[in-house]
Amino acid sequence: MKFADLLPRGTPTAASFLSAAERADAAGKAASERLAGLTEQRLAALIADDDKGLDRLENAITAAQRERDRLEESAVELRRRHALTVEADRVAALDALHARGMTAQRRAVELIRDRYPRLAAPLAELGEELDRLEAEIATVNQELLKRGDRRTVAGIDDVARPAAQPLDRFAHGFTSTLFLPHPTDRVGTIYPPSKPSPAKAAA
Amino acid sequence: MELRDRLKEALDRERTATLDAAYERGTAAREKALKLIRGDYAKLAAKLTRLMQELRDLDQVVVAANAELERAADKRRVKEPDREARSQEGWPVQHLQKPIYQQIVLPSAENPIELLFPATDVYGSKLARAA
Repeated sequence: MKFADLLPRGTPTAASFLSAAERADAAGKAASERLAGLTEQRLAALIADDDKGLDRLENAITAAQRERDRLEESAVELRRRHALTVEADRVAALDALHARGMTAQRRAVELIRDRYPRLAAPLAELGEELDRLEAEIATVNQELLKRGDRRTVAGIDDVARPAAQPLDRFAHGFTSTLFLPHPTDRVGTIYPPSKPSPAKAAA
Repeated sequence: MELRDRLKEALDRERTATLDAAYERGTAAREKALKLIRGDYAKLAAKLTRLMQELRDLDQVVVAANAELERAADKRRVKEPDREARSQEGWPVQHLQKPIYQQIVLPSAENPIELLFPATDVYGSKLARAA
C-alpha cells in the first residue's frame, strides 16, 4: 500500500488523518506478520538447500520489509499531520471565539454610543418635564392650602401609579426612581441631570 | 353698608376665581404628566428595555469568550464593551464601572413597586416576568 493511498480524500480533517493512521497501523501489523511467515519459510529453505526457493523468498522478504517500513513510517507521518490539524483546529476555534467576542463588543459599543443616547435623551427630557409638572402641582397645592381652600391636586404618582397596598405608598416616586446613566461619562447621569464628573472633565 | 357688602362679594368672587384657576392649572399639569407617563414614557422605555436586554446578552457573549480563552491559556481578551464605550482612559482616578444595563433604572408606568428594567421590584426581588 502506497502512502498516497492512505491519505484522506477530499479536505483532510483531524479525524480523517487519525483514521488513516489507524489503517496504516493495521496494514503494518499484517505486513509484519507476513514478514515473520516469510522469514520462517526462508529458514526452512536454508536447511532444505532450496536455492530456487531462497531466491524467491528473499525477494519476497525484501518487498515485505519495504511494505512494513513504509506502513510504519506512514503511520508516524499521518499521526504528525493529525496533531498539526488538531492544533490548527484549536487555534481556528479560538480565533473564531475571539472574533465572536470582538463582534459582540463592537455591536455593544455601537449601541451604547449611538442608539442609547437617541433613546435615552427624550426620556431624560420627559423626566425633566415631569419634574416641572410636579413642581407646578406642589406650588398649586401650597397656594390652595395657604388660602384656606380645602381642595388639593392629587400627585402624579397617585394618579399614574396608584398604590394597590398601603405599604406601596412608601415606594419612591416615578421621577425619584428613573435613573439614566450618561452614554460617555460613566460617573455622570443624563437623568437625574448631572454635571460632568470632575474626573471626566480633567481627562 | 351696601357698598361694603358688594365689595366683600366681589373680593370673594375674585379669590374663588383665582383659586379655581390655580386648581385648574394643577389639574392640567397632572393630566399632562399622566399622558407623558402612560404614552411617551411607556413607548420609549419599552424600546430602551429591549436595548438593555441586548446589551446584557452581548456582554454575556464577551464574558463567555473571555472565559473560554482563559481556559485554553490563550492570552487574548475582549475588552468589556462598557469600558470600551465609556472609557476611563486618562482619568486621574479610576472608578468602579458597572455596565449601563446594570445602572439604569426604568420605573413601571403603572405600578409604584415594579420596575420595567431591571425586571425586579423596587426592593430588588425578581419579578415573575424575569423568569
